[in-house]
Amino acid sequence: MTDLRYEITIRASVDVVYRHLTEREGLLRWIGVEASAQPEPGGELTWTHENGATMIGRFIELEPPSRVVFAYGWKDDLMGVPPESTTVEIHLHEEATHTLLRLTHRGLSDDNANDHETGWDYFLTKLDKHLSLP
Amino acid sequence: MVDPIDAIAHPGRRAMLRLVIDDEYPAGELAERIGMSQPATSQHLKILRDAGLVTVRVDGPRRLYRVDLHGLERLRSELDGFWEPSLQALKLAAERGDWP
Repeated sequence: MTDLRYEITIRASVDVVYRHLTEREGLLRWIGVEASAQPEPGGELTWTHENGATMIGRFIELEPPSRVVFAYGWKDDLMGVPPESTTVEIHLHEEATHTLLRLTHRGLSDDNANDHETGWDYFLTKLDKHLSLP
Repeated sequence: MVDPIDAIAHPGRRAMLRLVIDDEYPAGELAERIGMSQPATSQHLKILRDAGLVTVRVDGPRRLYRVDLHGLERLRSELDGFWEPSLQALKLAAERGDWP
């Protein structure tokens, strides 16, 4: 199972960060030149990067303003990640002067890759095996 | 130079890479195992080589292809760093304080 995990601190309130993640106007400020967002379970979530690559996803769970889970993938199966084939979970935790954001990207793995024998997890596992050889 | 992430986006190239992780193969045998034409296989092998994911060894009349583990490791770091630029952009946007 290949989970990507990230942590970052942001000097802004959880509400502000949450709106950047769940509203079209917010997404346009940092990730997309185009975006759509219907912040409700099953609601559409898409954005297009400057290079034209388009993420196609869907909101799964929302707990404003502290947690959002969405399905994530790429139009045209870019990077071998078809639309809605992986899951991103973001937790926001309010600290005294900032918001702690934790992001976990799950599913770049055998579980739901269409061609699981050639999915990311396969390569990464193999790589680890090779690198740990004496 | 081809971006390794683009190189690996193609299912046929992932299938090739999967084979050459375990063993080295001549292009002809890769073509046969994957069910692609020789010319198509050569094209894809060139892309994998340009991305630094595959190396070639000349053995007499044969050219044998094998995975380049360093290239695969670079690909992994790229994947690990996948969200970082976006999260930095989010941080900047949220800290700008001009919205909502």
